[in-house]
Amino acid sequence: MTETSEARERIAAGSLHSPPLWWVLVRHEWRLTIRDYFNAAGRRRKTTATVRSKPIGSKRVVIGLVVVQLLLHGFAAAVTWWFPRQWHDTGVTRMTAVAVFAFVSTFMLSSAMSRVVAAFHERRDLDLLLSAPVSPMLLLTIRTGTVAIATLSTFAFFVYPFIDVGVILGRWWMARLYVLLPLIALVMTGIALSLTDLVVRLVGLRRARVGLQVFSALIGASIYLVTQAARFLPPRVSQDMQQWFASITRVDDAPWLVEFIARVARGDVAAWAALIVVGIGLFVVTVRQACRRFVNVAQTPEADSRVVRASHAIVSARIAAGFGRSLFTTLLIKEWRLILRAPQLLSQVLLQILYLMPLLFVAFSNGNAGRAWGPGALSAGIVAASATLATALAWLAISGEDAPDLLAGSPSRAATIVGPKIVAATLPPVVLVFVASIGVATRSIGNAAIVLVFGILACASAAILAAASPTPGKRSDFQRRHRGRIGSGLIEAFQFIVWAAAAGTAVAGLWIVAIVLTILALVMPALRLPRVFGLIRDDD
Amino acid sequence: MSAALRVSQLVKHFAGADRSAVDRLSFTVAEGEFYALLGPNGAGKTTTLRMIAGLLAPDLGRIEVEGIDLRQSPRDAKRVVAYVPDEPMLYDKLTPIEYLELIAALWQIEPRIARDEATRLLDLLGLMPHALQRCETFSRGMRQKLVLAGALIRAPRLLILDEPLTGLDAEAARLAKDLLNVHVESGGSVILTTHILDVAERMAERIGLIRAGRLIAEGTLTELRAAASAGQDATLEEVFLDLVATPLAADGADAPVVR
Repeated sequence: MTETSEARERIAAGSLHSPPLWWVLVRHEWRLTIRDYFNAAGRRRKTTATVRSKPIGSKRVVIGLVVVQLLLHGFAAAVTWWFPRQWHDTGVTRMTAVAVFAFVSTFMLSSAMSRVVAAFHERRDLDLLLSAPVSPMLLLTIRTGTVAIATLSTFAFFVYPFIDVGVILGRWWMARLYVLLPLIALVMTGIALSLTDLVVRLVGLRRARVGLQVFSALIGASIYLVTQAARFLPPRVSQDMQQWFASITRVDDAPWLVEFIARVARGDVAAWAALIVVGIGLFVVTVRQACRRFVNVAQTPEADSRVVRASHAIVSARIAAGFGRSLFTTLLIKEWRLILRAPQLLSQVLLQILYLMPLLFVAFSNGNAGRAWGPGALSAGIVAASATLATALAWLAISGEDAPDLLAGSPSRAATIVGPKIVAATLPPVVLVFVASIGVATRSIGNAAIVLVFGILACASAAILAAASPTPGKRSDFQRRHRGRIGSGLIEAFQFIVWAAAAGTAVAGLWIVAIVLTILALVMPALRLPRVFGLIRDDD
Repeated sequence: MSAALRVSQLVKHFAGADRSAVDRLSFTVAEGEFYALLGPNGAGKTTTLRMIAGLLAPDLGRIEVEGIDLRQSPRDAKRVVAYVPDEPMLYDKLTPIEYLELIAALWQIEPRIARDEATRLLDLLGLMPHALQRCETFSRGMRQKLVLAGALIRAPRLLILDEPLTGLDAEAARLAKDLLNVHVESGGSVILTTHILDVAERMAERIGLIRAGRLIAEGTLTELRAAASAGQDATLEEVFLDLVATPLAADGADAPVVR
C-alpha cells in the first residue's frame, strides 16, 4: 500500500465518527507523551552525515514491554517470598516505610517537574489548543492528569509486578500500594505544578524553564548522594545520621509526618481517608490555581529580559577585540561557550561531576571511608566517571553540532574542525582526573600516576569513539541520545567498565589482568581509529 | 563570458526513493549573472544547491565552480562559494559577533578585513543594536539577515541562496535584494531558489525550471514565454504554471528545453 492511499484510508476512517472532546484531548496528550518518550531517536536532524532513522515500531514496543513485565514478575516471584505476611509496626518497618516514602515522593516530584516543564513549556502547542473552542480548564486538567499518570507509570511499571506477586502469595498488605502510589503521584504532580507556577512568577518563563530542569536533575543527583553518604562522610557523622533517623522513626513519640506514614503503612482507615482527601484535594486545587496562571502565561507574549541593545561603540570595541584568533582557538572557545550558555545542558553534564564527588571525597579523605572503599575501587570510580564526562561532552561537541552544514561547507580542513572539538570534550575531564589524582597522591604517588594515565586514556578513547561514530541529534535531546541506539550506549558502558576495571586492577597490583583489560579497552578505539582518520581526512 | 558555475549531467538518488531527486541535470551560470532555479515542491532544487555547496556528493555528474572541479578540489571550490540554506545555520547561544568571528576563522579571512566587513554588514542589515544578544532571541527575519551577513563576509564569488527572503519583512527583503544586486554588479554570481516568483521575474537574468530533478526549461523570461507559447505580457507565474503542467517524457528523455 502506498503512503498516499494509506493516508486516504486513515482520513476516511477518521471522518466516520466524531469522538467526544475529552477523548480527543486525552488521545492527543497520550500520543504526544508516548511519542516524546519512544520516538526521540526518530527526530534526528537531517544533515549531510545522517539518514533519518525510523521511529521505534509500536508493535516492537508493546512486545518489549510485555517481555520485561514477564521477567519482572518472574523476578518478583523469587524475591517476594522473603516479604513478611503481615505488616508489623516496628522501628525497622517504620524506617523502611519512611525511607521508601521519601525515595518515591522525591523521585516522583522530580519526574513530575520535568514532565510539567515539557508538557506546559516545551511542547509549544498551548497557543494552538487554547485558541480552540475548548474549555481551558478541561484541556489543562487532562494535560495535568496525563503528567500524573506518566509520573506514576515508571514506578508502576517496576513496582506493580512485585505487588501482583505479593498479593497472589498472600501478602495482602501490599495491595494498599496499588492505591498509595497513584495518590503520591497525584500529590507530587500538584506540588510540581505549584512549584513550577511559583518559579514562573518569580523569575519569568524562560529562566523558570531552565531552573526547573536543573532543579529536577539535582533532586535525582541528591538521592544518589544521600545513598552514598555513608561511603564518603566521616564515620562519626554517618553514625550520628543513622541514630537521628532511628530516633525519628521510633514507635513511640515520632514526629507527626512519620506517625502518619506509619499509620498509612499499617492500613489505618482514618489515615487513608485523610490521604485520599488531601491527595485529590491538593491536586484539584493546585490544578485550578496553576491552570489559570498557565492560561495567562500562554496567552501573554514572553518577555525577554536579556534583550540588551548595544551601543555602536561597545560593539565596535568588541569587534576590534575579536576576529584575530586561530581557527583552533575560535572553535575551542565556541564549544565551551555553547556548553556554558545552556544551563540545562550544563546541569546534566555537571551531574556527572556530582556523581564523581563522593569519590573525590574519598580520594582526599584519610579516614576510614577511604580505607573502606579501597584504592582500587576509588581509582576505578574516578576513571569511569571522567570517561563518562568525556563522552557526554564529546557528544555535545561532535554529534550535537548546531550547524553541521556550516562547518561542512567551509574550506577548512576537516581535521582542523574535529580536532578542537575532541580537545574541548577531553580537557575538562582530564583536568578533573588531574585534580583527583592529586588527592590520591597524598596516599600513593604510584596510584595517582595510574589514575592519571588510565583517566587520560579513558577520556581519549571515549572522545575517539564519539568522533568515529557520531550520532547527530539536537542538543536538547542530550539525555535521550541513546534512545533507539542501544548499541552505542552499550559500547560506551563497556568502555567505562573495562577502563575502570583496568585502573582498579592496576592499583591493586594485578598487573597481568590490568594489561589484558587495557588491551581489551584499546581494541574498540583502535578499530574505530581509521574511521576517525577517515572523518578527519582532508578532502584534497 | 566564463562560467561561474557549470553543472553537467548531475544525478542524485536517495536510498528508498522511487525516483532520482536530481536526474541528469545540466546548466551553467555565467560570471556576474543572477540565475534563478525554480520548481515546484520536491523538484530537487535544494538537493541541487546542496550538491553545489559541497554538502552532498552527487552520484554522477560534474560540478565546476569558477573553473574548479568540486570533486577534485572541494576546499578550493568552497573557498569561493557561500551557501545560505532555507533553515538558517545559526548557533542559538552565540551572539552575531561571535558567529561572524567563527565564520571568519573557518574561511580564514584576514582579521582586519573581517572586522571592517563585520561592522559594515551589521550596520547595513540593522543588526548592530543586537550584536551582543544571543541569536536565540532573534526573530526569523533577524536570523535570516545574520546568515546573509555570514555569507557576505566571506566575499564569495558565487552566492547560493535557498529561499533567502523567507521571513524577511518588506524593508529587510528590499535590503537583501539590494545587497544581491550589488554583489552581481561587482562581478559576483548568484544562484537562488524562491517560491516568490516576482523576485525571480524582476531580478534574475536567466531562469531554470526543474521538475522531478530534471531541467524542463531554461532561458530569459522572454525565451520562457516563447517556450510556453504564452503572450508577451504573460507573467512568470503564468509561464511557470504552464511549463510545470507539461507532462514529462515517460522514457526519461529530456523534455523540450529552451537554451
